[in-house]
Parts: sequence; C-alpha cells; structure tokens
Amino acid sequence: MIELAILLIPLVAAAVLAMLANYRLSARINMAASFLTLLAALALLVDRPATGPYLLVDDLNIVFILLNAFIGFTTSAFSASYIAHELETGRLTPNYLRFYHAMFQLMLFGMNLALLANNIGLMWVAVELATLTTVVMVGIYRTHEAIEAAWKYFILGSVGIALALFGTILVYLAARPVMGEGADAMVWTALMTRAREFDPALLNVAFIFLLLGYGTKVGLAPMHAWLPDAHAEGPTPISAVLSGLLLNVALYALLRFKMLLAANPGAIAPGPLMIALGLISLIFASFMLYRRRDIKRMFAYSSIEHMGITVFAFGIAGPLGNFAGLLQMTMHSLTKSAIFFSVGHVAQVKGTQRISDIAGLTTTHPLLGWGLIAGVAAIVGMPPFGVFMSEFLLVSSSFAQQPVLTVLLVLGLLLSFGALFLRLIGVAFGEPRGPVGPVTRPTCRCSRTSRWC
Amino acid sequence: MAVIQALLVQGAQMVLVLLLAPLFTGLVRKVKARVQRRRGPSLIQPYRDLKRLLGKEAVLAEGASWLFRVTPYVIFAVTWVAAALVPTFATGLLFSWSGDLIAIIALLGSARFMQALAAMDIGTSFGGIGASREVMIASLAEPAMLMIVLSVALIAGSTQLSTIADYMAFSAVGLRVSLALGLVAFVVVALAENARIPVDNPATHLELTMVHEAMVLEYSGRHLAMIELAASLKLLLYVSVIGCIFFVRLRQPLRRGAGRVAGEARGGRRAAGRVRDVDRQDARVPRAELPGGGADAGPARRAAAVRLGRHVMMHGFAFDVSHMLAGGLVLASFAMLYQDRLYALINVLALHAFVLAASVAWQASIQHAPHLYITAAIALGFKGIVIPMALRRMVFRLGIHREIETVVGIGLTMLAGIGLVALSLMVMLPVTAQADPVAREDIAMALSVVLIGLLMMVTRRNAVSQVAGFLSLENGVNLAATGAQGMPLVVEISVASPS
Repeated sequence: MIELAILLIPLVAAAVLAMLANYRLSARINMAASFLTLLAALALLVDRPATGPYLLVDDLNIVFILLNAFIGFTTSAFSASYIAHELETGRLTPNYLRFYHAMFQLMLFGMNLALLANNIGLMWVAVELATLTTVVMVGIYRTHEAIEAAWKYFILGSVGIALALFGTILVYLAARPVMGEGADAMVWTALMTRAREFDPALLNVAFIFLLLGYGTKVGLAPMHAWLPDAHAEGPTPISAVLSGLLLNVALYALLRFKMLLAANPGAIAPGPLMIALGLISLIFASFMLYRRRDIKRMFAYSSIEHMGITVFAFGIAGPLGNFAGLLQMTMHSLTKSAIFFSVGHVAQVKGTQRISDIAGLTTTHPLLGWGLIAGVAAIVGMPPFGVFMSEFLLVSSSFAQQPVLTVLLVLGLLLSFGALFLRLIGVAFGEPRGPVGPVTRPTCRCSRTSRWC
Repeated sequence: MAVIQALLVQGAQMVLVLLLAPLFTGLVRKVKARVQRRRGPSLIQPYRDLKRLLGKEAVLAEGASWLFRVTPYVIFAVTWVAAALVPTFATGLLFSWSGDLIAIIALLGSARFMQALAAMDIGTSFGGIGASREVMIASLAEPAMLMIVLSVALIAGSTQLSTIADYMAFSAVGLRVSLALGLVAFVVVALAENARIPVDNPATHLELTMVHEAMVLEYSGRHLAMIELAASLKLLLYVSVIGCIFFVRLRQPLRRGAGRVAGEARGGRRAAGRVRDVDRQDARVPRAELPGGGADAGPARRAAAVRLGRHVMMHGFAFDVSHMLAGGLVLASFAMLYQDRLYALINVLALHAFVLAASVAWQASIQHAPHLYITAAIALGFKGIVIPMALRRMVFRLGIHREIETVVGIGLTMLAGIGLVALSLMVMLPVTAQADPVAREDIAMALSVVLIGLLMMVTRRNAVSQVAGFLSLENGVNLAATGAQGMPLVVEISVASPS
C-alpha cells in the first residue's frame, strides 16, 4: 500500500496541477504533494511492504527512494520562491508554470516508479518517462539556447535509453531459456535467484549496452555531452533535480544490472569497466572545471565528477566500496541540490550566470555568499561535511586494492578541489560587481534545509 | 562400357545445346516481334543467318592483330564449354564434377574479357566505348551473380550445378524467400549479361546506345558467326541455369543411369543422396506404387516423412520471411545512409517504418501474439505516416527541402556501415547460439540497424536527418523487442510510439 502511495501521490498531483491555473496555489500543492510523498517514503522505513511482481522495496532502493522524496520536497519548496521571481522578470508565463508543475510531479512519479520497479521492462519505461519530462522542462524558457540544450538532451538521452533497452532485451533473452516466456523473465527478484544459470556471453554483451545506455543518463565521461547544457539552460530547480536525482536513478538501474552480472560466475566482472569509466569521468570533468565561464555549467561538470567518483566506488565494490559509493551519492545529491538552490538565487540576484560578472557576494549578500562557500566546501570534500567522509572511506578502502588507480582518483579530487575554489574565490570575495540590492524574495530559507545533512 | 555411354550422353548434351541455341534465339525474337504486333522472322532465321555469315568473306579492320582474329573462336569455345557443363537436358553428366557455378561464371567472364580486349584492339572509338560500358555493367552484374550463387549454395550445400539441380529436384526445399529473391536477381543479371532491353538492346542501330553490338561492329563473316552463336549459347545457358536452380520441380530433368554409375563410383555421398531421394520421392507421391528397389518404405514411415517435410518447410518459410524482413530493415538503413536529400531521406524513413511494421506483424502471426499487432499498427501509423508527414512539413517550412546535405563522404559512410553490420553479426551470432533462430537473426539484424542509426546521427549535421537516424535506431530496438518473444506489451508500445 505504501509503495502505491509513493507512486499515486505524484500522479494524482500531476493531474490536479495540470488543471489548476493559479500558480501560487499550484506551488503550494506541489509542495504538499512532495511532502506527502516524503512521509510515505519515511513510512517505508517502519513498515516495509512485501515484494510483488511489479514493485519491490529492499535495502538498496529504500535509500534511493528516501533521497528522492526528500530532495523532491526541498526542490519543490525552493521552486516556489524561484518561479515567483521568474514570473516577475517575465521569463516564464503562468501557462508555462501550470505545465511546469504538472511535469515536475510527473517526473517524480517516473523516478519513483523506476526506483520501485521489480521488473526490468517497467524500470526502463519509468526511466524513459522521467527523461522525457525533464527534456520538456529543460526547454521551458523557450530561448534559443534552452531549445538547443533540450534538443541535445533529448537526442543523446534517447539514444542512451534506446541502447539501454537493447541491453534489457538481451538480458531478457538470456533469462528466457531458464525462466520461460513472458513477464516472469523480467522480474528482478526472480532474475537474481536464478542468475547463475543464464548464458554468460549474452549477459556480457547486454551489460555493455546497459553500461553505455544508462551510463549516458548517469553522465559518464564519453557520453556526458548533454549534461552541462541541460543543467545550464533549464530552470534551476530542474538543474537541482537533474543533478540530485535523475543521475541517481540511472545509476540505480546500472547497479541493479551489475548485481545481476555479479551473481553469474561465468560473466565478466563489471567492476573494472565501471572503475575505468568512473576514473575517466572524474579526471576529464576535473580538467574541464578550469575552463568554465557559466556558474551552473561549472557545477554541472562537478556533477559529472562526482558521478565518476560514485561509479568508481561501486566498481571497487566490497562492503566498504559499496558503502562509500552509496554515501557519496547521497551526500552529493543533498549538497549539490543545495548548491544549485543558492546558485539559482545568485543568478537571479545578479541577473547573469557568467562567473566573470559575479564578484564579492560575501559583502553584498553575506548569507547567500557564505552559504555558497559552505556548499562548495562541502562538495569538494572538506572535513566537517559528508562528502569528506565518503571520499575518505573510498580512498582508504580502494588504496588497499588498487593503489595506482587510487593515486589517479586523488589526483582528480585535488584537481577539482583547486578548480572549484579558484572560481569560488572570484565569486564570493573581492570588489562587488553587478546589482547589490537584496533578493526580491526571501531566499536561503529552503536551501539551508538540506545543507547540513 | 558405362564410360562410353556416359561419354555419349555428355556428347549428346553438347551437340544438342549447340544445335538448339539458335532456335532459342529465334524463339525469343519471334515472341518479341509478336508482342510488338509484328509477324517477325521465322524461327529458323538464326540458322540461315549463321549459314550466310559462314559463307561470307571475313573482312579485317586495319591494324587488327592476331588477338582480333583469335577472339571469336575463343569466345565460342569458352561459351560452349560453359553451356556443356550446365545440365540442360540431364543431370549427373560425365563432366558435371567440373560444372561448378563459379567455374561457369569464370568461363563467361573470360569470354567477356576477350571480347573487350578485341574491341579495344582495333582502336575504333566505338569499340572503346562498348568495351568500357560492357566492363562497367559486368562489374555490377558479376558480384550480384556471385551473391546469388552463394545464397543458393548455402541452401543446397554445394556450388556444383548438378548437385544443386539434384537437391532442388528431389529434396524438400520448401518455399524459400532467399530463392525467390535470388530468382529475381538472377533474371536481372541474365538480362544484363545477355544484352537485353533495360540494359542494352541487341537490335539497336544507333551506335551511341550500343554496348555489346558496339564491341562487335568490326566483325564480319565467320568471325561474326562465331560471336552470334556464342551469344545464342549464352542465352540458352542462362535460361537453363535458371531452370536448373529455380524451376527444376516443374521440369524434372532426366536422371541418366550412366550418371548414377559415375556418381556411385565417386563415393558414398551420392549413394546416400539417392536413398534419400527415393524416400523423398515416395513421400511426395504416397499413393503411387513404390519403385522396385524402394527400400523399407512402410506407410507409417511415409507419413512421418511427409509430416517432417511439412514441418521443416513451414518453419523454414516462417524463418525465411522474418529473416527477409529483418534484412530489409538493414537494407532500408543503408538506403537512409545513402540519401543526401532531405525529402528522399524522409521517404526512406517511412519505408523503414513500413518494413518494421511488416516485420512486427509477421512476428505477431508466427508467435501467435496478437498484442504485437498493436505494436505494428502504432509503428505503421506514427512512424510510417504521421512523423514523416510532420518532418516533410517542417522541412518545407524551414525552406531546406532543396538543400543537399554535405555528408562526410557517402562512400566512406557506407563502408563504415558495412563494417558495423559485420561487427554486429560477429558479436551477436556467437553469443546467441542457444536462442531460437528467429530471435537470433532478429537480434543480430536489430543491432546492425541500431548501429547504422547511430552512425547516421554521428555523420549528419542537419537536425532533421539526426531525427531520422534516431528513429531508425529506435526501429532497430523495436525489431529486437519483437524478436525476443514474450516481452510485456507496455515495453513494446512505448518503443513503438515515438518517444
């Protein structure tokens, strides 16, 4: 029942929001629905529902679901203040807002479905749904750049998702001789129990496609091209959700298939592939961070970097590696969404996203400026924050297994550390530039909610 | 004694072929004239022509070398040998072991080579034109011919024409899509090779449009007679090869006893084939009296043989059609890769969707999965009709319908596409060895379509053609989804409907 509630609340809310014209009411309903979803997700901790043929709650996805619901809620709270400002500046019209709210809930529904699904086909459909809804949201400003970003996201994301479907079909083909025809051969729990009887060669090929397909959605390095554009051109709440949630959902799908592969003794070890892709993403993104001029784009590259770290951690595997990966992903989601909240306000205050046009935030807007500093300090892995914990865990655990690769990992971490702080110092300190007036709407109230987690 | 008999039969075949070839040419001319509502020359007119030419003086062009004089005889000899190898009137001939289809093609190819050489030897401009045109046509027709031979050889298990004819006549081949396609291709090749109408016109009087005639313009007298006779032989040869391979059921060639003796002398394989043939024979005519030497053909066994034959046939046919449709999808992908005009590209995209819909519908029928018809209908409606129309509108409104897209070298792209198809076959076929054959083929073809779609998206700059590439990629995934039997409906529908 509870898992149904997690799915039905966003779906019903989406239907209601599609019909409401009043954007203030819509924003409240959006928040309320997200809050209810969060409550339902919390209830999962107390009372875990039994596994059905279509839905599943286990130790792995409960983390993802909670995180999803929580960031969905904080983002809906942030977007309430954000969109009001967008309306005032005329970048959005009430009609678009109606669409925006409905799509927001539909996207949450898609992501929750993907996380809860106990069927590889259903999961794929849900990821596709989430992708499509975010595509239209990225393009919602209807500027030339926004449409281009949405287009790029659509094409690359769809190609990725098509490859993932091909992989899914191959997994089904591998399972069919063992499990029989029909939907039974696509159920996760059933697949996991009999994975060792599957044809390993077929599973190998399938995993390559899944890695490429879902890896595109995760934003791993050679397939990442859509990610910076989509983050920079869409509304900031969507950037936060993309970074904080959608990447996780794709990663979750990848993890599930990795578990399937690991259960088959004849199949290739998925670890090295993931380690390689993770490291490439990390180092590539770290270098790219130095050349960014757009503040949202810069944090988009930081997301690629962190996804690289997370995938690396899951590739290292072992109890410590997996825990480090999970922790890293959670902390990244929380921190990155908080950073996007404050960056959104910064962009609204200054009227620009260009890093060179923003300076001296701590003197003009102390709260915002220091908030951003705290956020960046957290994301680069400074000690009191969660990312430090996970990265420390990862470095210490992987050093025992892969000393050489760990050196590369640390190199990437240091590089991104330098890049982010270099840019941050320009933005936060120095002679103030741009408008110095207060933000038109109360800020930071919501962005702080998740910062200290 | 047996050897002498076999030699006699072989000699009779050679003489018969030689004697009947002009008659056949006369028949073709007669039919052509009748179709054009003319009375036409008499059937034996070619014989009279030959006689007349043989009696005339052979005039040599200035500067003609010995090559020019030798060529007619070489062409005639080579063509005659090739015609003698074809089991026109009887299978199991003495020399049929050398009657390899590839050898026949090589013989005809060397005849063509000699002719082109001779045409260039005299140094007239028409000779040169004719030679270059002939060689160009040959460079297109010969690979096609080899493809046909190989696809027939895959079914019959041999490139020996005699064996193929035997196999086609006496075993349960069933309906084969590849054979049907091969027949169409073979007829086209035969038209091109025999200088018939869409490619060339043997009766043309305009030198500029000549191909074959331009090469023999300078010949006269007995030289021309040799070449004419060789052309008649070649025509007969092609027709009898078509008969041997494709229409053997209707024709039932004589099986010479001598051939059998020779066959048995060569080894047990033929003998085994004969026993099998006897089985097949009584499987086909269960009510007829059994052949005297017919083995233990009890009624139960006969019934089993009939059932087995029918099963093999049906499965083969279902498999063949799905194979053809999947192959058609790959072909349509290549056509998309080749197009550089947007409207043409959109048309091919629609064709792609039509082929996909046909393929899905076929899968629905052979898998007995009615829900697949929905997928097929969606693919047809959206991807075959609605999306192409929308794209056309878009192209028209953007005013880019006259633009030719600069593609990074079509030849290079096509080569890369061929490489991708090879790659996907090499990856997929070994991996899916245990899957059932239909799904296996579909998956391998689907991967090719997916990869070609990706290639197209990479090599095109225009947004419309990127969309086209993406849609073809999705069609490939759809093919895979329907090939894997029993996928849930929701997945299939969400693939079929354009995302």
